[in-house]
Amino acid sequence: VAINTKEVGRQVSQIPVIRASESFERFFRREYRAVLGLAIVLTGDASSGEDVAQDAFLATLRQWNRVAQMENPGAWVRQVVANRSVSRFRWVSAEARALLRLGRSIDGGRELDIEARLDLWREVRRLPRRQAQAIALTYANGLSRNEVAEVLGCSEETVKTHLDRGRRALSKRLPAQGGGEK
Amino acid sequence: VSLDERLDRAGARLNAKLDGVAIPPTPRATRPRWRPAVVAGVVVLVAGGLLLWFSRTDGPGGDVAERVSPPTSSQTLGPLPDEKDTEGPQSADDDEWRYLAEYDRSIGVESRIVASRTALDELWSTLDSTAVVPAVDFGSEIVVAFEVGYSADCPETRFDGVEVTDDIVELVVVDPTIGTGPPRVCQLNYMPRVYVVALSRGLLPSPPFTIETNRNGAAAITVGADLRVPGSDIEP
Repeated sequence: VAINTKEVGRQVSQIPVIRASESFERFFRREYRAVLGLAIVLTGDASSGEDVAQDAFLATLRQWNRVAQMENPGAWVRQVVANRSVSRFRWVSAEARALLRLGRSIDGGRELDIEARLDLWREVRRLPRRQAQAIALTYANGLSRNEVAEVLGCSEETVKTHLDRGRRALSKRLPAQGGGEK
Repeated sequence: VSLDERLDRAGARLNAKLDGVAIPPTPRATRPRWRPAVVAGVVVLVAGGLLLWFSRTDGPGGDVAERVSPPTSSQTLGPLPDEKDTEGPQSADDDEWRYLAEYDRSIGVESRIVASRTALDELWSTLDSTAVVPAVDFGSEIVVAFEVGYSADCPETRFDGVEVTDDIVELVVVDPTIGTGPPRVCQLNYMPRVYVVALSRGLLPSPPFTIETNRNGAAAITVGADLRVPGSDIEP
């Protein structure tokens, strides 16, 4: 029987590649600190940030079969954090946050609180939501413009617009020297 | 020190401190012990209800098939990331917008842009002739009334703000209950709700620009007038 190797090769190349997904545990351990950092910057304190990060990972776990097949599951969990953090910053009262903190504290939470309360990050949180998210993803998570666009579900051009507007607003609000590092 | 450098340094310092944070145990999917009992209870109740229904309607000339037919379509809502997961009450304002009112009624898919007191009075006479017309400074603000749809089973919505990107002004309305409880079924029916908000003129892009909402409802409209000019109206 003659086998047409070219035809077989063509057919094999058309078989869809099923992405080998990593375990949730590995994903969690790899992404936890960065996602926590993003949540802390956007919420303004370590405890709320930890809550948001945990919520986001739980939401990810619930849909892990689907999320694991995505090109970039890290972008998905960051998107959840970005959406939830700013809302939380706006809506959860200081009293509620204090209650959340009762009885437990994140390892190194005090130092992270100090970081989150820098004038610089506080002013970032005051920006319109998309601008704050774009800046936090860029500077706290070190993502490229392309990666930020993937998280926010928009084009690179739009990310550039958000970053430019955010930076302009920050330049006006922050003192010229060193004020952000108080 | 430039702003970029300051942001870079703040990010680096934060990440250095995060390196010292212990990673907590990996979350596990938990299956509450009471769940099988609840599911069994629901099944028994539904089966009992159906039996009762059939016993009452399955007589001569009965229309059982029609009356127990399932809804034509439905969707299950869960905590998807593209939904704004935002608990909390309606906020009254932000730097760039003010919430004025909402009504469970329809004004059609055509949004109304109001940039004068006369037009605002006219709008309010169609929305609620008994209500006091809110104060608006048309020198620095315009008013937009726009309709969104919600499901009768999932009626919670909240105006959450305005996103301006290039030449698009997006009026964001969210379901504040998304992600706050177990998944639920919302029938795909359309109930109209009108939001009325004041937008800062400083927020608006140069013309032409588009005003749209992120939800089903008002159609996108293109604005050709330069509403950034204090006191300017939609029509010259």
